[in-house]
Amino acid sequence: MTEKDDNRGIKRQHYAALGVGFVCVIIGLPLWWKTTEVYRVSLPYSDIADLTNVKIKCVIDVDVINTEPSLTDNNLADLSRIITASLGQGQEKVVHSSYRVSVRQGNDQQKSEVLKTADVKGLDTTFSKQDVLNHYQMVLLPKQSGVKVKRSHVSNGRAAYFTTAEKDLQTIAQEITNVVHSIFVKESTLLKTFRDRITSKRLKPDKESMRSVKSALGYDILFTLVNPQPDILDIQWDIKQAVRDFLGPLSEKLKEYVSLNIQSQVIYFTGLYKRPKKDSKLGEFYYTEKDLPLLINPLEAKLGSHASSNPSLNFLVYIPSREQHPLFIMDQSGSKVPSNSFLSPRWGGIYIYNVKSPSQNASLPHEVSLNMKQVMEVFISQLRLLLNLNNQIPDSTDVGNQAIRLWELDGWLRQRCIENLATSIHTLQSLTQLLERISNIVINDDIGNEVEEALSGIRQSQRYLAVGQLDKAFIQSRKALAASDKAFFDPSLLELLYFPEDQKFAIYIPLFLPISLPILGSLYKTFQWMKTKRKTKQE
Amino acid sequence: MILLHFLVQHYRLFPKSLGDVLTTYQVQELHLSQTQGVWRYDKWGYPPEDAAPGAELLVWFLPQASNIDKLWSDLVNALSGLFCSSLNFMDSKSTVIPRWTFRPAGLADEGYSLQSARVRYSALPKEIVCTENLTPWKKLLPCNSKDSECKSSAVELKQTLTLVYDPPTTNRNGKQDWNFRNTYSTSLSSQCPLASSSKIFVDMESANFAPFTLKPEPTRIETFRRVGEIKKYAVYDLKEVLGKQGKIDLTALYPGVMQFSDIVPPPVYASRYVTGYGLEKGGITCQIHNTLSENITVIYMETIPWFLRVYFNSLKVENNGATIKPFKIHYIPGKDRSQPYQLELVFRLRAQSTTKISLSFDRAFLKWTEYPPDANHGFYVNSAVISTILPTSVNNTAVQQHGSTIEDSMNDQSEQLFLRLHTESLLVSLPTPDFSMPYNVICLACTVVAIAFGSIHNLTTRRFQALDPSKQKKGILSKIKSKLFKSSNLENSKSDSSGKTESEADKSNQKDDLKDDNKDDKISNDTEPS
Repeated sequence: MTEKDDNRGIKRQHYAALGVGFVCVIIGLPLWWKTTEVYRVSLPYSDIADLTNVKIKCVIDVDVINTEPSLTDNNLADLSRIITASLGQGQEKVVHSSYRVSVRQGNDQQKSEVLKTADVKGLDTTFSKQDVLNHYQMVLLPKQSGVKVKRSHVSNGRAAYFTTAEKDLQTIAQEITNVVHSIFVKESTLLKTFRDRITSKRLKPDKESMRSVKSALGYDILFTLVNPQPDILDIQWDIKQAVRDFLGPLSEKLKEYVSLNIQSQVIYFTGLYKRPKKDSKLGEFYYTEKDLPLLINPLEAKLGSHASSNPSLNFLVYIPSREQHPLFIMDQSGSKVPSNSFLSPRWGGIYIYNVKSPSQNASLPHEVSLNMKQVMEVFISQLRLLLNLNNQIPDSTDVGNQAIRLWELDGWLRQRCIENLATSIHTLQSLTQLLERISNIVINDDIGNEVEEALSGIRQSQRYLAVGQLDKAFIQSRKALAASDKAFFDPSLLELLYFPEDQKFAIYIPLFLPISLPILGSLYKTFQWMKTKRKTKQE
Repeated sequence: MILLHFLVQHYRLFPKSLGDVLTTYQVQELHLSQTQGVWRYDKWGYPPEDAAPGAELLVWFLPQASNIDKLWSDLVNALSGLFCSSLNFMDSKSTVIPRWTFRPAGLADEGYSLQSARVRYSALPKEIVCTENLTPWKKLLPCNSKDSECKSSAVELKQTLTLVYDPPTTNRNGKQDWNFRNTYSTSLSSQCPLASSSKIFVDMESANFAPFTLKPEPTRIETFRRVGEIKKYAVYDLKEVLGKQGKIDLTALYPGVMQFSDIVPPPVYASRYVTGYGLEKGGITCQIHNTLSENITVIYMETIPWFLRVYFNSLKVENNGATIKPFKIHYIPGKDRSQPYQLELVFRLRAQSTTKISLSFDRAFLKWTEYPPDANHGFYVNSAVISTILPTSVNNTAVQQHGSTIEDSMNDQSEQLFLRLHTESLLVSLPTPDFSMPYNVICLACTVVAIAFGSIHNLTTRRFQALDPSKQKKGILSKIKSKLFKSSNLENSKSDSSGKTESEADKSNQKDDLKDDNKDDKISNDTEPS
C-alpha cells in the first residue's frame, strides 16, 4: 500500500463520516422533528395580547325635550352646553361612556298632551312612541303641568320627567346628569364589572356582583313546591297560569337576548332537616338568619338534575309540616321577615308559605290551593335581584307584573355586554397563556376557528357599542363568550396532555443513543483531521 | 296568550329530572332495565318483567326528531349521569336498529310503530345493577322510598323492581316460609298517599301442590281465567289493611319441609353458549325449546360485537337434524370499530322439539388501546332476544303489553300472550397480547437498527490497518489498565504467599504490556518496600 493510496483512503473515510453526519443532521433531525411534532394551529397571539389594553366606549343618546314654553332656544343651547360638559367626563377610563346630547323643543303635539295629562301614565303614553333602545328622553315639564313630580321621575319606559318650576338651568342640568349617571347608565358599576372579570385576581366583591348569576346564554328557572306531608295537605298550585302572568312579559322582553327555560315540579316527603326553634308563648316556629344556609343543601339534593348546562335558578315554596306550623323567619333584630322568604346568592330563593292547618276531624288529605300572586311577587323580586335588576329608586313608577323596566333592560344589556366582553377576553388570554406554557397540547382547527370567532365577536361588539347599537353589541359579545368558552373547554386540548417528556425520552433513547455516538465520534475525528490538514497546508 | 318562545314544563308526579331528559332528547318511549344475574326460565318460569342480563336500553324517538344518532349519543350520556351507570358506553359500536323485535308499548299510531328507523337498542351485559343504581331509581318515585306507580292519561312511567329469593336455603329449617321482615328487613307500615291504589298480590298457583297459609288474611282472593289458564291471586288492598292494622308483615307458612321435585319447564325457553376452541375461530349456538304441542313462530334477534366477525353463510337453523328455512332474515354486517353485527330471524318452532341456531365467527385482533383493563377476563356478548306469542299463560304472571298494572292482567280477555325472552349473555375471550409488547418492540427494533447502522457506519468511516504495538501511543484505556493490574499485583503480594504464584503468573503474562512502561514499573518497585 503506497502512502498516496493511504492518504486517499483516509480522505475518503473522513468524507464518508461527514456525509453520514450531514444526512443525519440536515435531513434526519428535521424529519424526526416534523413527524413527531404536535399539531398546533397558529393562533393570533399578538391580537389576544393586545386585548389587555382594550378600551371600551359606549355611546348613549340623551334627548332633552323641552315642553316649558318660557325656555327659549337660547336657553336650550346653554343647557345643552352645560349638560354635555357635565356628562362627558372620564374619557381615560377603560370603560367610558360618551353621550350624544340633543336638546330640543318638544313638538306641538307633545306640548299639548303634556298639559292635558294629569298623571305619569299619560306622559308615558306620549313619550313611549319614540322608545328606542339605548336612547333616553329627558322631558322638561311645563310649570303649570298637572303631573305632580317632586323633582324628577323615572318612568317604566326610557324617559325621565323633570319639573322646571323654580329651577335655573344649572340645577336642571345637574339633575339630568344625576339621573343619567346614577340610574340609566351606571358607569362605575360597568367599570367595576369589567375590571372584576378581566383579571383572575378578584377584586373585593360587593354584594351585587356576588348575588347576581353570571352571564349565560340561557337560564333554567325551576319552581318547586315542597310538600312534606302530602297525606295531610293536598296542595294545589296553578303554576301554569302564574308563570304565564308573571314571567310572560319578562321572557317576552328578553327573548332576543337570553333564553329562559321554565320548569316546575312538586316534591313530596321532603322536609327541612334543620329543626326550627319554637316560640312556646305564641305557638310559633322560627328560623334565625344563622339557620338559613343550612336549609338549602338537603333540599337541593332532591331537586333533580337539569338536562341543560345553563345556570339554574331555583325558587321553592315550602309548606311547613303540621308539627312546625306556623313557621317564620326572624331577622337579626328578632322581628319576623315580612316576606317570610330568603334568597341564596346565585342559587335562588325559598318562600315559606304557611297554610292553615286542617282541623282535627277534617277528612285527610285536606285540599288547599295557594295564592299564586303572593308567591310570584316574592319570586319576581328575588329574580330581579338574581338578574341584577335591583333598582330601588324612590321617584319611579312601580314595576308591576312587567318584571323589568325598559331602561333596566338597557342597563342589563349594557352590563352583560361588558361582562361578556371582559370574561371572553380573560378566557382567551388564559387559553393562550396555557398553550404557550405547555408545548405539547394539540391545537385543532376547531379551536383556531373558535378563537378567531371570539376575537371577531369582541371587535364587532366594541364597534357596535361605540356607535350606540346596544342590542347588536350584546349579541356579538354573547357570541364571543360562547366561542371563547368552547375553545377553552374543548376536550381535544387534554388528549396529549398526560404524555410526559421523560417517557418520550425512554422511547427514543434505544435508537438515538447507539446511532448518535458513533456518528458524533467519527465527526469529531474528521474535524480534528481537517484541522491538522489545514495546519500542514499553512505550513 | 300562547308562549312559544320559551319552554315551560310542569311536573307533579312525574319526576322532573327524567322528564327533562325525555323532552330535551325528544323521546317517545324509553325502556331501561338493569339486572344482576340470570333469570332461569327453565326452572322459574317467566319473570313479571323480562330483562336482559346487565343493562338494556330501548328508545323510540319522537316522529319529529331529526338526527337521531346524535340524540341517542346525548341521551345515553344524560341517562348514565341520571342512573349512575356506564350507559355512555352505548355508542355506535354497540347500538342497533331492530326491525321486527320491538314495537312501542305505549300509544302510537300504526304508521309510527312500523317505522323502525326511530328505534335504537343497545345492551351492556357487563353493567350489572348495584345499590348505587337503586338510589337514583328510588329518587324517581314521587314518595321517594315509599313505593308507588305513577300514571296519567298522556305519560306513563312504569318502574318495576324484581327480586328473586330462595327461602328454603336461607331459612335454617328447610321450609319455604317467607315474610316481609326477613326479606326486606322491615314490615310495611304506610303507603304513598299520592297513589290511587296500592296493592300486594300473592300468586297462589303453587298452593295447588305445595299448600301454604297466608297471614294476615288477604282482602280477597281473585280467581280468574287468563289465556286458557286458571289463575288465583291473593290480593291485599293496602289502604284497607293498613287502616285496620297499622302495619303489615305478610307471612306465608308452609306445613312441611320443602320437597324438591322435577320441574315442568315453561312452554318456550332457550339456552345459548359459545362453541369452538382456540383463539382463532368460534361459534355461537342457541337452543330454543318448545314444549307445547303446537308450532310457534318466533322472532330471534342477535347483536354481536364487531370484533367477532360473523360469517353469514355459517348461519344454520336446525330442528332435529333437518334444516329450517327462516321466513324472514334481516342481517346487517358489522363494520370494524363502528357497527355491530345485527341479525333478526323469523322462523317456526316445531311442536315439542328443540331448534338450534348456530353461527360461526373469527376472533379479530384489537388494537392495544382497545383492550379493557382486565383484558384476560374476556368480552361480553349481548344476550339474544326472542319474541313470540303464546297461546297459554302457564308459568306467566307478566302484565300484557297494553296493560299497566297486575289488575289489568286479571281482566285480560285476549287469547294469546306476548312473550319476550332474553338468553344468557356470553363471555368470549379474544387473543390478548402481552401489554408490555409495544415498548419491547420499540427497544428490539431500535437495537437491531442501531447494530446494523453501527456496523455499516464503522465500515464506511474506519480503516483497518496493521499497527506496531511498540510504536503505539499510549491511550487512556491502557494507562488505566496498567494501573489497575499494578494495584492488583500489590494486593496479591501483600496478602499471602499462596497467592504469589498466581500473581507472578499474571505478571509474566502482562510483561509485554508493562515493558512499554518502565517508569510505572519503577514506581511500583519503589512503593513496594514502603
